[in-house]
Amino acid sequence: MVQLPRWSEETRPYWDALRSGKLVYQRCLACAEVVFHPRAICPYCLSDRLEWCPSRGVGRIYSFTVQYRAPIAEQQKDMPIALGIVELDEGFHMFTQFVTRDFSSLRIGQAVEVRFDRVSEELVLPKFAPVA
Amino acid sequence: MKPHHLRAKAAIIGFGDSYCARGEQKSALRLATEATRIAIADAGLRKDDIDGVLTGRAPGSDRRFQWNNIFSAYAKFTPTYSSEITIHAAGLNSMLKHAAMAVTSGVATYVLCVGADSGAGTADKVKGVVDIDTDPEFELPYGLIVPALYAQVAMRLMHEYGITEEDLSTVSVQCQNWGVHHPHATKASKGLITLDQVMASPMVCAPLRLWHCAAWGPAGTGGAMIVTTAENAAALSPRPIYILGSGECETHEYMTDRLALRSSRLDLGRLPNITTTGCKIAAELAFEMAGVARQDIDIVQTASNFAHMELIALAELGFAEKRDVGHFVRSGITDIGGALPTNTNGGWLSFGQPGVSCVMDSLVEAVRQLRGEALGKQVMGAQTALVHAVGGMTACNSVTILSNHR
Repeated sequence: MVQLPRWSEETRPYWDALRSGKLVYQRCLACAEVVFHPRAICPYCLSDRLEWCPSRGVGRIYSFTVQYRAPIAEQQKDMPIALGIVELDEGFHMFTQFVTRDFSSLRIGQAVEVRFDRVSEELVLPKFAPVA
Repeated sequence: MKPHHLRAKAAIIGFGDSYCARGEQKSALRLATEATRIAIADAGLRKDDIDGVLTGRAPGSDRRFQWNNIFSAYAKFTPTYSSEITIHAAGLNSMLKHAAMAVTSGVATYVLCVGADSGAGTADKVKGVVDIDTDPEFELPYGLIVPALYAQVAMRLMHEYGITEEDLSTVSVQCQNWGVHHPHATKASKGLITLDQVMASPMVCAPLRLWHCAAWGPAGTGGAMIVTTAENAAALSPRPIYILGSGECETHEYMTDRLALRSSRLDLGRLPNITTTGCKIAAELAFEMAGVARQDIDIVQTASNFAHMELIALAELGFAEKRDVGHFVRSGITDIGGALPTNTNGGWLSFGQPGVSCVMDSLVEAVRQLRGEALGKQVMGAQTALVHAVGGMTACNSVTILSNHR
Protein backbone atom coordinates (compact mmCIF):
# COMPACT_ATOMS: atom_id res chain seq x y z
CA MET A 1 0.00 0.00 0.00
CA VAL A 2 1.43 3.34 -1.03
CA GLN A 3 0.16 6.59 0.38
CA LEU A 4 -0.85 8.82 -2.51
CA PRO A 5 0.72 12.26 -2.45
CA ARG A 6 -1.46 15.21 -1.57
CA TRP A 7 -1.17 16.96 -4.91
CA SER A 8 -2.75 20.24 -5.91
CA GLU A 9 -3.43 22.32 -9.02
CA GLU A 10 -0.01 23.93 -8.54
CA THR A 11 1.84 20.61 -8.77
CA ARG A 12 -0.41 18.73 -11.18
CA PRO A 13 1.92 19.26 -14.20
CA TYR A 14 4.75 17.58 -12.25
CA TRP A 15 2.70 14.43 -11.56
CA ASP A 16 1.20 14.45 -15.06
CA ALA A 17 4.70 14.55 -16.58
CA LEU A 18 5.81 11.59 -14.43
CA ARG A 19 2.92 9.53 -15.78
CA SER A 20 4.34 10.09 -19.27
CA GLY A 21 7.84 9.20 -18.15
CA LYS A 22 9.27 12.69 -17.71
CA LEU A 23 10.78 14.43 -14.68
CA VAL A 24 10.12 18.18 -14.74
CA TYR A 25 11.00 21.17 -12.58
CA GLN A 26 10.41 24.92 -12.79
CA ARG A 27 12.60 27.86 -13.65
CA CYS A 28 11.79 31.47 -12.83
CA LEU A 29 11.77 33.72 -15.89
CA ALA A 30 12.22 36.78 -13.66
CA CYS A 31 15.22 35.78 -11.50
CA ALA A 32 16.45 32.65 -13.35
CA GLU A 33 16.41 30.53 -10.15
CA VAL A 34 15.60 26.85 -10.37
CA VAL A 35 12.38 26.22 -8.44
CA PHE A 36 11.57 22.89 -6.80
CA HIS A 37 9.27 21.74 -5.23
CA PRO A 38 6.71 23.02 -7.76
CA ARG A 39 4.58 26.03 -6.87
CA ALA A 40 2.67 28.93 -8.39
CA ILE A 41 5.03 31.70 -7.29
CA CYS A 42 8.84 31.86 -7.23
CA PRO A 43 9.89 31.72 -3.55
CA TYR A 44 13.08 33.66 -4.28
CA CYS A 45 11.76 36.77 -6.07
CA LEU A 46 7.98 36.24 -5.66
CA SER A 47 7.38 36.46 -9.38
CA ASP A 48 4.66 34.28 -10.91
CA ARG A 49 6.55 33.93 -14.21
CA LEU A 50 7.53 30.29 -13.80
CA GLU A 51 8.12 27.89 -16.68
CA TRP A 52 8.27 24.10 -16.66
CA CYS A 53 11.53 22.49 -17.83
CA PRO A 54 12.50 18.87 -18.47
CA SER A 55 15.16 17.42 -16.15
CA ARG A 56 17.74 14.97 -17.50
CA GLY A 57 17.07 12.92 -14.38
CA VAL A 58 20.76 12.67 -13.59
CA GLY A 59 22.41 13.66 -10.35
CA ARG A 60 24.29 12.60 -7.24
CA ILE A 61 23.37 11.20 -3.84
CA TYR A 62 23.27 14.16 -1.42
CA SER A 63 22.47 12.00 1.61
CA PHE A 64 20.85 8.64 2.30
CA THR A 65 19.81 6.09 4.86
CA VAL A 66 18.89 2.43 4.88
CA GLN A 67 15.54 2.15 6.61
CA TYR A 68 14.83 -1.09 8.47
CA ARG A 69 11.41 -0.30 9.91
CA ALA A 70 8.28 0.47 7.96
CA PRO A 71 5.74 3.09 9.04
CA ILE A 72 2.99 0.46 9.02
CA ALA A 73 3.20 -3.29 9.64
CA GLU A 74 1.99 -4.23 6.13
CA GLN A 75 5.10 -2.60 4.60
CA GLN A 76 7.62 -4.35 6.87
CA LYS A 77 8.10 -7.12 4.28
CA ASP A 78 9.58 -4.50 1.90
CA MET A 79 12.29 -3.46 4.38
CA PRO A 80 15.09 -2.54 4.30
CA ILE A 81 14.98 0.16 1.65
CA ALA A 82 17.43 2.92 0.80
CA LEU A 83 15.89 6.38 1.08
CA GLY A 84 17.60 9.68 0.61
CA ILE A 85 18.00 13.00 -1.09
CA VAL A 86 19.25 13.34 -4.66
CA GLU A 87 20.87 16.51 -6.00
CA LEU A 88 19.88 16.84 -9.66
CA ASP A 89 22.38 18.25 -12.16
CA GLU A 90 19.96 21.13 -12.86
CA GLY A 91 20.48 22.27 -9.25
CA PHE A 92 17.51 21.08 -7.22
CA HIS A 93 17.09 18.43 -4.51
CA MET A 94 14.37 15.86 -4.04
CA PHE A 95 13.59 13.04 -1.62
CA THR A 96 13.62 9.64 -3.26
CA GLN A 97 14.26 5.95 -3.00
CA PHE A 98 17.60 4.61 -4.22
CA VAL A 99 16.89 1.44 -6.14
CA THR A 100 19.60 -1.06 -5.26
CA ARG A 101 20.06 -4.20 -3.18
CA ASP A 102 23.72 -3.37 -2.62
CA PHE A 103 23.16 -0.99 0.30
CA SER A 104 26.77 -1.16 1.49
CA SER A 105 27.97 0.42 -1.76
CA LEU A 106 25.87 3.58 -1.40
CA ARG A 107 27.96 6.73 -0.95
CA ILE A 108 27.33 10.46 -0.72
CA GLY A 109 28.29 11.96 -4.08
CA GLN A 110 27.57 8.76 -6.02
CA ALA A 111 26.12 9.26 -9.53
CA VAL A 112 22.49 8.19 -9.94
CA GLU A 113 19.82 8.40 -12.62
CA VAL A 114 16.05 8.42 -12.54
CA ARG A 115 13.85 5.32 -12.76
CA PHE A 116 10.11 5.78 -13.13
CA ASP A 117 8.27 3.45 -10.80
CA ARG A 118 4.69 2.93 -11.99
CA VAL A 119 3.10 2.33 -8.59
CA SER A 120 -0.48 2.54 -9.86
CA GLU A 121 -2.48 3.99 -12.74
CA GLU A 122 -2.55 7.26 -10.84
CA LEU A 123 0.95 7.42 -9.46
CA VAL A 124 4.41 7.26 -10.98
CA LEU A 125 7.16 7.85 -8.42
CA PRO A 126 10.61 8.99 -9.51
CA LYS A 127 13.28 6.79 -7.95
CA PHE A 128 17.00 6.74 -8.63
CA ALA A 129 19.47 3.98 -9.39
CA PRO A 130 23.26 4.12 -9.08
CA VAL A 131 25.03 4.55 -12.42
CA ALA A 132 27.70 1.96 -13.08
CA MET B 1 25.82 48.00 24.42
CA LYS B 2 22.43 48.69 25.97
CA PRO B 3 21.04 45.72 27.89
CA HIS B 4 18.16 44.05 26.14
CA HIS B 5 14.88 45.42 27.44
CA LEU B 6 13.52 41.96 28.28
CA ARG B 7 16.64 40.74 30.13
CA ALA B 8 15.60 39.43 33.57
CA LYS B 9 12.47 41.60 33.47
CA ALA B 10 10.15 38.66 33.99
CA ALA B 11 10.30 35.58 36.17
CA ILE B 12 8.70 32.22 36.83
CA ILE B 13 7.11 32.41 40.28
CA GLY B 14 5.46 29.01 40.29
CA PHE B 15 5.77 25.75 38.44
CA GLY B 16 4.10 22.39 38.43
CA ASP B 17 4.66 19.05 36.74
CA SER B 18 2.53 15.96 36.40
CA TYR B 19 3.14 12.49 35.08
CA CYS B 20 1.50 9.25 34.11
CA ALA B 21 2.90 6.45 36.20
CA ARG B 22 3.88 3.36 34.23
CA GLY B 23 0.71 1.86 32.82
CA GLU B 24 -1.42 4.81 33.92
CA GLN B 25 -3.55 6.69 31.38
CA LYS B 26 -4.38 10.38 31.70
CA SER B 27 -5.54 12.84 29.07
CA ALA B 28 -3.30 15.75 28.09
CA LEU B 29 -5.95 18.10 29.48
CA ARG B 30 -5.88 16.36 32.84
CA LEU B 31 -2.07 16.42 32.97
CA ALA B 32 -2.02 20.11 32.01
CA THR B 33 -4.60 20.95 34.65
CA GLU B 34 -2.81 18.95 37.37
CA ALA B 35 0.42 20.82 36.58
CA THR B 36 -1.48 24.12 36.60
CA ARG B 37 -3.02 23.40 39.99
CA ILE B 38 0.45 22.75 41.44
CA ALA B 39 1.93 25.84 39.75
CA ILE B 40 -0.78 28.17 41.10
CA ALA B 41 -0.28 26.83 44.62
CA ASP B 42 3.49 27.05 44.26
CA ALA B 43 3.17 30.71 43.21
CA GLY B 44 0.89 31.45 46.16
CA LEU B 45 -1.80 32.73 43.80
CA ARG B 46 -5.49 32.06 43.41
CA LYS B 47 -6.89 30.61 40.22
CA ASP B 48 -8.63 33.88 39.38
CA ASP B 49 -5.33 35.77 39.48
CA ILE B 50 -4.39 34.16 36.13
CA ASP B 51 -5.24 36.62 33.35
CA GLY B 52 -3.06 35.16 30.58
CA VAL B 53 -2.88 31.62 29.19
CA LEU B 54 -0.36 30.31 26.67
CA THR B 55 -0.12 26.76 25.41
CA GLY B 56 1.96 25.09 22.75
CA ARG B 57 0.68 23.31 19.70
CA ALA B 58 -2.11 20.82 20.18
CA PRO B 59 -0.71 17.64 21.75
CA GLY B 60 -0.28 14.57 19.57
CA SER B 61 -2.87 12.86 21.74
CA ASP B 62 -5.45 15.65 21.37
CA ARG B 63 -5.16 17.28 17.96
CA ARG B 64 -7.69 20.04 18.20
CA PHE B 65 -7.11 23.53 16.86
CA GLN B 66 -6.67 26.45 19.32
CA TRP B 67 -5.59 24.18 22.14
CA ASN B 68 -5.14 27.24 24.38
CA ASN B 69 -8.88 27.70 24.14
CA ILE B 70 -9.59 23.98 24.60
CA PHE B 71 -7.47 24.04 27.76
CA SER B 72 -8.92 27.26 29.17
CA ALA B 73 -12.44 25.97 28.64
CA TYR B 74 -11.60 22.61 30.26
CA ALA B 75 -10.17 24.26 33.39
CA LYS B 76 -12.58 27.22 33.27
CA PHE B 77 -10.11 30.03 32.84
CA THR B 78 -11.31 33.23 31.15
CA PRO B 79 -8.03 34.83 30.00
CA THR B 80 -7.82 38.29 28.46
CA TYR B 81 -4.49 37.37 26.87
CA SER B 82 -4.22 33.93 25.28
CA SER B 83 -2.63 32.08 22.38
CA GLU B 84 -1.07 28.90 21.13
CA ILE B 85 2.64 29.50 20.65
CA THR B 86 3.39 27.22 17.76
CA ILE B 87 6.73 27.00 16.10
CA HIS B 88 5.95 23.32 16.14
CA ALA B 89 6.37 21.97 19.66
CA ALA B 90 9.37 24.29 20.21
CA GLY B 91 6.77 26.98 20.80
CA LEU B 92 6.39 25.57 24.31
CA ASN B 93 9.93 26.76 25.02
CA SER B 94 9.23 30.17 23.48
CA MET B 95 6.10 30.60 25.62
CA LEU B 96 8.29 32.07 28.35
CA LYS B 97 9.50 34.81 26.00
CA HIS B 98 5.97 35.61 24.90
CA ALA B 99 4.84 35.67 28.53
CA ALA B 100 7.73 38.01 29.37
CA MET B 101 6.66 40.32 26.55
CA ALA B 102 3.08 40.26 27.80
CA VAL B 103 3.81 40.99 31.46
CA THR B 104 6.49 43.62 30.86
CA SER B 105 4.23 45.47 28.44
CA GLY B 106 1.34 45.42 30.90
CA VAL B 107 -0.90 43.36 28.63
CA ALA B 108 -1.18 40.71 31.34
CA THR B 109 -0.02 40.27 34.93
CA TYR B 110 0.12 36.52 35.57
CA VAL B 111 0.60 34.40 32.48
CA LEU B 112 0.16 30.65 32.77
CA CYS B 113 2.38 28.76 30.30
CA VAL B 114 1.24 25.18 30.07
CA GLY B 115 1.81 22.10 27.96
CA ALA B 116 1.06 18.41 28.20
CA ASP B 117 0.82 15.30 26.08
CA SER B 118 0.13 11.64 26.46
CA GLY B 119 0.98 10.69 22.91
CA ALA B 120 3.32 7.85 23.81
CA GLY B 121 0.30 5.72 24.61
CA THR B 122 -1.45 6.20 21.29
CA ALA B 123 -1.51 3.16 19.06
CA ASP B 124 -0.65 4.86 15.77
CA LYS B 125 2.10 7.14 17.08
CA VAL B 126 4.71 6.26 14.44
CA LYS B 127 2.30 6.77 11.56
CA GLY B 128 0.75 9.78 13.29
CA VAL B 129 4.05 11.63 13.59
CA VAL B 130 5.26 10.78 10.11
CA ASP B 131 1.98 12.12 8.70
CA ILE B 132 2.48 15.45 10.49
CA ASP B 133 6.19 15.97 10.02
CA THR B 134 6.91 14.81 6.50
CA ASP B 135 6.09 16.50 3.23
CA PRO B 136 2.73 14.95 2.29
CA GLU B 137 3.48 15.29 -1.41
CA PHE B 138 7.22 14.84 -1.92
CA GLU B 139 8.40 12.69 1.00
CA LEU B 140 5.48 10.70 2.40
CA PRO B 141 4.79 8.56 -0.72
CA TYR B 142 8.22 6.94 -0.32
CA GLY B 143 7.10 5.13 2.84
CA LEU B 144 9.57 6.72 5.23
CA ILE B 145 9.61 6.99 9.01
CA VAL B 146 10.82 10.10 10.87
CA PRO B 147 14.24 8.62 11.73
CA ALA B 148 14.88 8.33 7.97
CA LEU B 149 14.82 12.13 7.74
CA TYR B 150 17.08 12.64 10.77
CA ALA B 151 19.42 9.99 9.35
CA GLN B 152 19.95 12.26 6.31
CA VAL B 153 21.34 14.87 8.70
CA ALA B 154 23.46 12.28 10.53
CA MET B 155 25.01 11.04 7.28
CA ARG B 156 25.85 14.59 6.21
CA LEU B 157 27.23 15.41 9.66
CA MET B 158 29.59 12.44 9.44
CA HIS B 159 30.50 13.36 5.86
CA GLU B 160 31.07 17.09 6.44
CA TYR B 161 32.43 17.16 10.00
CA GLY B 162 33.93 13.73 10.61
CA ILE B 163 31.46 12.85 13.36
CA THR B 164 31.63 9.13 14.17
CA GLU B 165 29.25 6.44 15.39
CA GLU B 166 31.22 6.44 18.66
CA ASP B 167 30.42 10.14 19.06
CA LEU B 168 26.70 9.51 18.61
CA SER B 169 26.79 6.50 20.91
CA THR B 170 28.57 8.44 23.67
CA VAL B 171 25.61 10.83 23.75
CA SER B 172 23.25 7.88 24.26
CA VAL B 173 25.41 6.42 27.05
CA GLN B 174 25.63 9.74 28.91
CA CYS B 175 21.90 10.47 28.63
CA GLN B 176 21.26 7.05 30.12
CA ASN B 177 23.79 7.78 32.91
CA TRP B 178 21.59 10.74 33.90
CA GLY B 179 18.29 9.09 33.08
CA VAL B 180 18.65 6.08 35.38
CA HIS B 181 18.40 8.46 38.37
CA HIS B 182 15.09 10.02 37.29
CA PRO B 183 11.93 8.32 38.61
CA HIS B 184 9.94 9.15 35.46
CA ALA B 185 12.63 8.52 32.82
CA THR B 186 11.14 6.00 30.46
CA LYS B 187 14.41 4.14 29.80
CA ALA B 188 15.59 4.22 33.44
CA SER B 189 14.46 0.64 33.97
CA LYS B 190 16.94 -0.53 31.33
CA GLY B 191 19.84 0.41 33.60
CA LEU B 192 23.25 1.67 32.57
CA ILE B 193 24.45 0.86 29.08
CA THR B 194 27.83 0.66 27.36
CA LEU B 195 29.08 2.03 24.04
CA ASP B 196 29.20 -1.53 22.72
CA GLN B 197 25.55 -2.09 23.64
CA VAL B 198 24.53 1.08 21.83
CA MET B 199 26.52 0.13 18.74
CA ALA B 200 25.11 -3.40 18.75
CA SER B 201 21.49 -2.26 19.09
CA PRO B 202 19.21 -2.85 16.09
CA MET B 203 19.61 -0.54 13.12
CA VAL B 204 16.56 1.70 12.62
CA CYS B 205 17.72 4.02 9.85
CA ALA B 206 21.44 3.84 9.16
CA PRO B 207 23.50 5.21 10.81
CA LEU B 208 20.88 5.57 13.57
CA ARG B 209 20.43 2.56 15.83
CA LEU B 210 17.71 2.02 18.39
CA TRP B 211 19.71 3.55 21.26
CA HIS B 212 20.39 6.65 19.12
CA CYS B 213 16.65 7.35 18.93
CA ALA B 214 14.48 9.00 21.57
CA ALA B 215 12.18 6.64 23.38
CA TRP B 216 8.41 6.97 23.32
CA GLY B 217 7.39 7.67 26.90
CA PRO B 218 6.66 8.35 29.67
CA ALA B 219 3.02 7.66 28.90
CA GLY B 220 2.18 11.28 29.66
CA THR B 221 3.67 14.44 31.14
CA GLY B 222 2.48 17.96 31.83
CA GLY B 223 4.27 21.13 32.87
CA ALA B 224 3.05 24.57 33.90
CA MET B 225 4.87 27.82 34.72
CA ILE B 226 3.47 31.11 35.93
CA VAL B 227 5.25 34.21 34.68
CA THR B 228 5.01 37.73 36.03
CA THR B 229 7.24 40.80 36.14
CA ALA B 230 10.51 40.65 38.04
CA GLU B 231 9.14 43.33 40.41
CA ASN B 232 6.07 41.25 41.23
CA ALA B 233 8.28 38.20 41.54
CA ALA B 234 10.58 39.84 44.06
CA ALA B 235 7.57 40.74 46.20
CA LEU B 236 5.74 37.41 45.88
CA SER B 237 8.25 34.62 45.53
CA PRO B 238 11.10 33.50 47.79
CA ARG B 239 12.91 31.97 44.82
CA PRO B 240 11.89 33.29 41.43
CA ILE B 241 13.50 31.91 38.28
CA TYR B 242 14.37 34.81 36.00
CA ILE B 243 13.96 34.67 32.25
CA LEU B 244 17.34 36.08 31.20
CA GLY B 245 17.17 35.50 27.49
CA SER B 246 15.24 33.77 24.76
CA GLY B 247 15.66 33.40 21.02
CA GLU B 248 14.07 31.42 18.24
CA CYS B 249 14.61 30.73 14.58
CA GLU B 250 12.52 29.01 11.95
CA THR B 251 14.32 27.84 8.81
CA HIS B 252 11.95 25.49 6.97
CA GLU B 253 9.07 23.11 7.33
CA TYR B 254 9.95 19.85 5.56
CA MET B 255 13.48 18.43 5.68
CA THR B 256 14.11 18.05 1.95
CA ASP B 257 12.68 21.49 1.22
CA ARG B 258 15.35 22.94 3.54
CA LEU B 259 17.75 22.34 0.62
CA ALA B 260 15.74 24.80 -1.48
CA LEU B 261 16.76 27.52 1.01
CA ARG B 262 19.65 28.87 -1.04
CA SER B 263 20.15 32.19 0.72
CA SER B 264 19.06 33.82 3.96
CA ARG B 265 19.45 37.10 5.79
CA LEU B 266 20.82 34.90 8.62
CA ASP B 267 24.17 33.13 8.79
CA LEU B 268 23.04 29.52 8.44
CA GLY B 269 26.36 28.24 7.15
CA ARG B 270 27.10 27.62 3.51
CA LEU B 271 23.68 27.15 1.91
CA PRO B 272 22.10 24.89 1.00
CA ASN B 273 22.76 22.51 3.88
CA ILE B 274 20.93 20.40 6.46
CA THR B 275 23.70 20.39 9.08
CA THR B 276 23.37 23.97 10.32
CA THR B 277 20.08 24.48 12.12
CA GLY B 278 18.32 27.53 13.50
CA CYS B 279 19.73 26.59 16.93
CA LYS B 280 22.78 28.70 16.09
CA ILE B 281 20.70 31.84 15.52
CA ALA B 282 18.32 31.16 18.42
CA ALA B 283 21.33 30.77 20.73
CA GLU B 284 22.96 33.99 19.56
CA LEU B 285 19.72 35.88 20.20
CA ALA B 286 19.22 34.27 23.61
CA PHE B 287 22.78 34.92 24.78
CA GLU B 288 22.65 38.51 23.55
CA MET B 289 19.40 39.10 25.44
CA ALA B 290 20.68 37.33 28.55
CA GLY B 291 24.01 39.13 28.65
CA VAL B 292 25.77 36.01 29.90
CA ALA B 293 28.70 34.08 28.45
CA ARG B 294 28.89 30.40 27.54
CA GLN B 295 30.94 29.71 30.68
CA ASP B 296 28.13 31.14 32.83
CA ILE B 297 25.86 28.24 31.83
CA ASP B 298 25.72 25.59 34.55
CA ILE B 299 23.36 23.10 32.94
CA VAL B 300 22.01 22.49 29.45
CA GLN B 301 18.92 20.72 28.16
CA THR B 302 19.14 20.00 24.43
CA ALA B 303 16.44 18.85 22.07
CA SER B 304 17.91 15.46 21.23
CA ASN B 305 15.29 13.35 19.58
CA PHE B 306 18.29 11.59 18.04
CA ALA B 307 21.82 11.37 19.42
CA HIS B 308 23.48 13.44 16.70
CA MET B 309 21.09 16.31 17.38
CA GLU B 310 22.72 16.82 20.80
CA LEU B 311 26.06 17.17 19.02
CA ILE B 312 24.69 19.73 16.58
CA ALA B 313 23.01 21.61 19.44
CA LEU B 314 26.09 21.74 21.67
CA ALA B 315 28.13 23.06 18.75
CA GLU B 316 25.57 25.64 17.65
CA LEU B 317 24.93 26.77 21.22
CA GLY B 318 28.59 27.78 21.11
CA PHE B 319 30.15 25.21 23.43
CA ALA B 320 32.35 23.52 20.81
CA GLU B 321 33.20 23.55 17.12
CA LYS B 322 31.16 21.09 15.09
CA ARG B 323 34.30 19.25 14.02
CA ASP B 324 35.37 18.87 17.67
CA VAL B 325 32.00 18.30 19.32
CA GLY B 326 32.38 14.51 19.31
CA HIS B 327 35.64 14.80 21.25
CA PHE B 328 34.01 17.43 23.48
CA VAL B 329 31.28 15.01 24.52
CA ARG B 330 33.61 12.01 24.77
CA SER B 331 35.76 13.98 27.24
CA GLY B 332 32.91 13.53 29.73
CA ILE B 333 32.24 17.25 30.12
CA THR B 334 28.50 16.71 29.54
CA ASP B 335 28.29 13.64 31.79
CA ILE B 336 27.60 13.40 35.53
CA GLY B 337 30.43 15.23 37.27
CA GLY B 338 31.40 17.13 34.12
CA ALA B 339 31.66 20.90 33.80
CA LEU B 340 28.65 21.19 31.50
CA PRO B 341 25.98 18.80 32.78
CA THR B 342 23.72 18.13 29.80
CA ASN B 343 20.26 16.57 29.70
CA THR B 344 20.27 16.01 33.44
CA ASN B 345 16.92 14.19 33.40
CA GLY B 346 18.17 11.86 30.68
CA GLY B 347 16.94 14.18 27.95
CA TRP B 348 14.65 13.17 25.15
CA LEU B 349 16.83 10.11 24.49
CA SER B 350 16.45 8.51 27.93
CA PHE B 351 13.75 10.48 29.78
CA GLY B 352 11.77 10.08 26.60
CA GLN B 353 9.25 11.82 24.41
CA PRO B 354 5.68 11.63 25.69
CA GLY B 355 4.70 13.79 22.70
CA VAL B 356 5.04 17.56 22.37
CA SER B 357 5.43 17.91 26.14
CA CYS B 358 9.03 16.71 25.95
CA VAL B 359 9.72 20.44 25.56
CA MET B 360 7.94 21.15 28.85
CA ASP B 361 9.87 18.31 30.48
CA SER B 362 13.14 20.06 29.56
CA LEU B 363 11.90 23.35 31.05
CA VAL B 364 10.62 21.61 34.18
CA GLU B 365 14.00 19.90 34.61
CA ALA B 366 15.82 23.25 34.30
CA VAL B 367 13.54 24.96 36.83
CA ARG B 368 13.82 22.04 39.24
CA GLN B 369 17.62 22.06 38.97
CA LEU B 370 17.77 25.83 39.55
CA ARG B 371 15.55 25.47 42.63
CA GLY B 372 17.58 22.53 43.92
CA GLU B 373 14.57 20.22 43.57
CA ALA B 374 15.71 17.79 40.87
CA LEU B 375 13.79 14.54 40.86
CA GLY B 376 16.86 12.76 39.50
CA LYS B 377 20.50 13.73 39.87
CA GLN B 378 20.80 17.26 41.31
CA VAL B 379 23.61 19.45 39.95
CA MET B 380 24.82 21.19 43.09
CA GLY B 381 24.79 24.97 42.99
CA ALA B 382 23.36 25.27 39.48
CA GLN B 383 22.47 28.94 38.95
CA THR B 384 21.95 29.35 35.23
CA ALA B 385 20.35 26.91 32.80
CA LEU B 386 19.97 26.84 29.05
CA VAL B 387 17.02 25.02 27.51
CA HIS B 388 16.99 24.24 23.79
CA ALA B 389 13.95 22.96 21.95
CA VAL B 390 13.37 21.79 18.40
CA GLY B 391 10.06 21.41 16.67
CA GLY B 392 9.50 19.71 13.35
CA MET B 393 12.25 18.17 11.28
CA THR B 394 15.00 20.45 12.69
CA ALA B 395 12.67 23.21 11.44
CA CYS B 396 12.05 25.41 14.47
CA ASN B 397 14.59 26.07 17.18
CA SER B 398 14.09 27.88 20.47
CA VAL B 399 16.65 28.65 23.19
CA THR B 400 15.77 30.01 26.63
CA ILE B 401 18.22 30.98 29.38
CA LEU B 402 16.94 30.89 32.95
CA SER B 403 18.62 31.79 36.23
CA ASN B 404 17.86 31.83 39.93
CA HIS B 405 19.55 35.21 40.22
CA ARG B 406 19.31 38.43 38.21
